Amino acid sequence: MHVTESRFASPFDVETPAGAENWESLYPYYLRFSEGNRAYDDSTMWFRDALHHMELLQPFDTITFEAWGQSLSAYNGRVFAVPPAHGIDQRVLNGYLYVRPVPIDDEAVVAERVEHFLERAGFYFENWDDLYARWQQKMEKCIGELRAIEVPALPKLEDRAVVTEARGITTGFRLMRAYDAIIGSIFEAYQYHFEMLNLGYGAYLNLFEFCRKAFPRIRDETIVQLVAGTELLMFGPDDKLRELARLAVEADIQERVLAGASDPQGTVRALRDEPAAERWVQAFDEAQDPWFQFSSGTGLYHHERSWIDDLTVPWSALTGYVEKLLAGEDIDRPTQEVRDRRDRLTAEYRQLLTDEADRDAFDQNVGLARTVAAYIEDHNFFVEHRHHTVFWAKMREVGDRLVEGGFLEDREEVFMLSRWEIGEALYDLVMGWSVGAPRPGATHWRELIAERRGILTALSAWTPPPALGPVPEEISEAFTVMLWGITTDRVRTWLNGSADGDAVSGVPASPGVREGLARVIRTAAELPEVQPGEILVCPITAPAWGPVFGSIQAAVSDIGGVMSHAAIIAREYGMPAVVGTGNGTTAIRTGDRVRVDGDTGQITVLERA
Amino acid sequence: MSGTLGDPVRHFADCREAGADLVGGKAYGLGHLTALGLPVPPGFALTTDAYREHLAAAGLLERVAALADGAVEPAAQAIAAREIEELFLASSLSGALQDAVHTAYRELGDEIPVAVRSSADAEDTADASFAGQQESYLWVRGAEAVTVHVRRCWASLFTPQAIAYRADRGIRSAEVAMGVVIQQMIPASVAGVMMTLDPVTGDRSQVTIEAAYGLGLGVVSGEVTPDRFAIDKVALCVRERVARDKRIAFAFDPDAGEVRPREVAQGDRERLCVHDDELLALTRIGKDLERELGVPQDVEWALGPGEPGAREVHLLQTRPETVWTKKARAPIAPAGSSPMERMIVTMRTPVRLRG
Repeated sequence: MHVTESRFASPFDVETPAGAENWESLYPYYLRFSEGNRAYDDSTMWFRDALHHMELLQPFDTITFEAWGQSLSAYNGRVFAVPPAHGIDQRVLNGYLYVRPVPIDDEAVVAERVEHFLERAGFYFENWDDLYARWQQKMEKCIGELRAIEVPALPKLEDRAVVTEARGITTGFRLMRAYDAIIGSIFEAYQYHFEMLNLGYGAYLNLFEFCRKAFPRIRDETIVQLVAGTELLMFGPDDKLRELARLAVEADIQERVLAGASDPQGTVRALRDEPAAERWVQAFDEAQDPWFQFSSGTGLYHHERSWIDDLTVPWSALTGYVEKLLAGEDIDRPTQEVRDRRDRLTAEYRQLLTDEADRDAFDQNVGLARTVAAYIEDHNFFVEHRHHTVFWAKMREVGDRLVEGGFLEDREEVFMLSRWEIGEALYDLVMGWSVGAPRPGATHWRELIAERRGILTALSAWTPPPALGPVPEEISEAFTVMLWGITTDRVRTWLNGSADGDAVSGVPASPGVREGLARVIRTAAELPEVQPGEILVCPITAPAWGPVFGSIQAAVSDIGGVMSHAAIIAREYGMPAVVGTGNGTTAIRTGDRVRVDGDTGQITVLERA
Repeated sequence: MSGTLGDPVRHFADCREAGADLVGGKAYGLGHLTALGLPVPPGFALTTDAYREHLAAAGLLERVAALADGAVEPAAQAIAAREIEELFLASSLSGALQDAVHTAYRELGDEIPVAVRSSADAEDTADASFAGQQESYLWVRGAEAVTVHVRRCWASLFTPQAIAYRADRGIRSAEVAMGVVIQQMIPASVAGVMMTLDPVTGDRSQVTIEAAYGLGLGVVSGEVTPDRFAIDKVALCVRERVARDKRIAFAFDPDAGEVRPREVAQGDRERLCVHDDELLALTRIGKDLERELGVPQDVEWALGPGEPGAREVHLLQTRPETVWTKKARAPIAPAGSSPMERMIVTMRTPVRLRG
C-alpha cells in the first residue's frame, strides 16, 4: 500500500502515553514544543535523531545534544556563514529528540554569505594541517582542565589553612564553582567539536557530489573507500588490545587472560604479582591513558561506560584475539589491503574520466577529502571518548556530594536531574552546609526522582514516530542529507511504514557477502555474548565496538549511513556491513541464519532460530 | 599457420593484423579478443577477398550486379534477392578456396559443430541491420555443410532490405563485400550479452549483463526475457540481480539435428542463471577488453557446461558501444572552478522531498 501523504502527525497532536503525564517536567522548557511558539513549531517537519540520540533521554543526558546543537549551529550560522542554512534546531517529545535544519530563504542573504564562506572556510582549508595540530592542543588543554577540577566534599569545619593562608574561599563555593566548570567544559569541548567538522564534511560532500555526477551508479560506500586507509587514533584502543593479546601469548599467561573474563579487574590485580606478567602489566598500564578512555557506546549517554571504568567489553575482545592467536590466525588489521584498494579505485575512476578538467577536479576533491579524513574520524576520540570519559566521572563525583548531603540515595541519580536542577540542588546543599539548618532538598529531589522513574518507565513503552509535522518541498541543508540520510526515499518509506516485517534491507556500507548466525546486541554490555564468526545485528554500531569487529564476519545496524563510524570500521576490517535497516534488531533474532549482502544492502533470513 | 596476404582463410590469431576491411568487423573483433589472450572458441575467417574471388571465378559478378542494382521497386527487390540466393547456392567454391576452408575446418576438430556467421565491416552502424549482416548459422557440422552456409552468408548481403537500403543510397553492389566467421560451437549452459557501461546513465564505471539459459540466440533475438545484472566494474561487486521468467532455452536438438527452443524446467525459470563469481569473471574480461580497445564494448559471451560458479567463460564476439560513446559530454566541474566554489554549488542544491 502506498499512501501519498505529505505530512506526519503534528507534535501537538501526539498523545502522552498513559502513566507519563507531566513528562515535560523532566526537560528544560526550551526543548518542548510550545503553544507560545506554535506558529514556528508546527510549520515544518521535525525528524527523530535516531543517529546520535536514539535512546529515551534521562533528564541530564540532554546536555550532550544541547552542547552539539549550539555549537554546530553557531559555526554554520555565525562563524563560517554556510550559505543556505543556519543550524539544527532541537525539541524533545515524550522523551525523544527531534531535530530540523533551519534554512535561509532570502537569496540576497545567501549571496552575501557566499562571500564570507569563501573567505572563512577557505582559510581553514588552506591551513588545515596546522589548524588541526592547534585544535589537538586546545582539546588536550580542555581535557586537562576538566581532569584538574576538584569536586570537594563539604568538611565539618574548614581546614585551618583556609585561615592561615587567608584563602578567602569556602569549600561550598568551590563545590558550586566546580560544577559550573564541569558544565562549562562540555560546552567548550563541543565548541572545538564543530570548529572544523562541518568544513570537513563539506570536503566529503564535494567528492560525493562529483563522483555521483561522473558515475551515476557509484555507491556512497565506494566513494568513501577513496579516502580510506588513513592511520587513525580511533584505531588505537583496538590496536592496544592486539598488542596485549600478543604479549599475553609471549609471556605464556594466555590461560589467565582467557579465564579472567568473569573478573577482569581481579585478573589484572593478580597478574601484577607475577614476574612473568611484568611486561604485560606495564603495557596494560601504559594503555590506560589515553587508549582506555574509550566509551563502549557513543559517549553521548551517561550509562555508556568507558573501558577504564569497566573492562568487560575490551576484555572480551582481548580474549577473542588471544584465541585467534592460539589458533594460528592473523589478527592484524588489513591496513595494506585497504590502502591498495583505495589506490586502485582512485586510479581506475580517474582513468574513466575523459575530460582533463574533470580529472583535475577529481584530484582536488580526493586530495581535500583525504586532508580532512583524520579530523573527521578522530575528533570523536578527543571529544566523545577522552573528554566525556572524564566528564561522566566528574558528574558522578557531583552525585557523590549530593548523596553525602542526603539529597540522593545513589550517585547515579544525579542523571535523573537536568543540568539546571543540579545547580539548584547544589546551592541548596551548600546553603544547608553553610547555615547548619535542615533543607528542603533532602525530600524534594527524592520525591521528584521517584515520580520520574515512573514517567520514564511509561515513556519507554512508547515508540517514537520517525518524523513529525508537514513534509517540506525540499531540504537545503546538505549536512542533514549526508549525515542523517534524509532523502525523498527515506521520507516516503517513513510515510508508508514498513511493508514487510521479515524483509530487511538497508544502506550497503561495506562490500562483500557473508552467511552466518545472527547475534542481536542492543547495548554495549551485551557485547561479550558475541561469538566468533557471528553476524552482529545492533541498533547502532558505536566506534568503541571496534574490537568486536575482530571476531564477527559481518555487521547490520538499524541506524546510520555510509559515513557512520561503524561503516568505516567495517570497511577497514574488510567485512560486509549493511546500515540503516530500520528494523534489523526487530526482524532478525539471535541464532537466525542470515545472509548479509554488503553490495546490495539486502539481508536474507535463511533459517529461523 | 599464418598466411600471406592472399590467403582466403585467416585464423582468429591473425585477424587483428589483417584488419576489418579484409576480414570484416566480427572477425576483426574476435582477432582482438584472441590476440589479448582472452577465451575465444577457436575458429577462422574467410576474407572479403575470398568473397570477391568467388564472384569472379563463379561468373556471378555481372549477374548479381545486374539483378541487385537494377531492382528499384520492393517487389523487384524481393525477386532479385531470391534469384541471387539461388545463384549463390548453385555456385561452387573453386577448388583452392574449398580446400582452404575444409582444411581449416578439419583443423578445428573432427566433424565438430561450428557457427557460420557473416562478418561485415560495418557492424556498428545502421548498415548492419539493413544489410542483413547479422546472419548466424548455428551447429553446422561437416566440411560440406560449412561451405553451403558460407554461401548462404554471402547471399545474405543481398536480402531485399539490403538491396533497398543500398539503392536508396546509390551504393553499387560491386562496392560491398562480406567476410565469414567459422567458429567452434560452445554447448552453452548459459549465454548472453555484456555492455561495459550502464546503458541508462552511460556510467562507465558499470557493467551490464543480460543472460538466459542455453545459446545466446534467445537473448540476442529478444525471444527470451533475460536475467539482468548490474556490476560495479571498479569496486568489482554485483550491484543488482534481477531474475526474470526464462521460459525457453535454445540448444542443439540431436533428434531434429538443429538448434531449437526447449522448455526450461519450472524450478529453474525464475532462478538467477549466472553465479556471482562468473559475473565478476566476465566483468574483469570486459575491463581488460575496454582498456585494450579504448572504448566501451558490447560483448557476446557464453558459459560452458558445469556447476554454477565453476563454468568456463567464452567470448563469442565484441564490438564498440556506440550510443554513449558518440554522445558529447559536458565536463562535470565548471572549468577553472575551485573546490570551494563547487562546495557552495553542492550545498545550494536542495534535496527534494516531495513530488
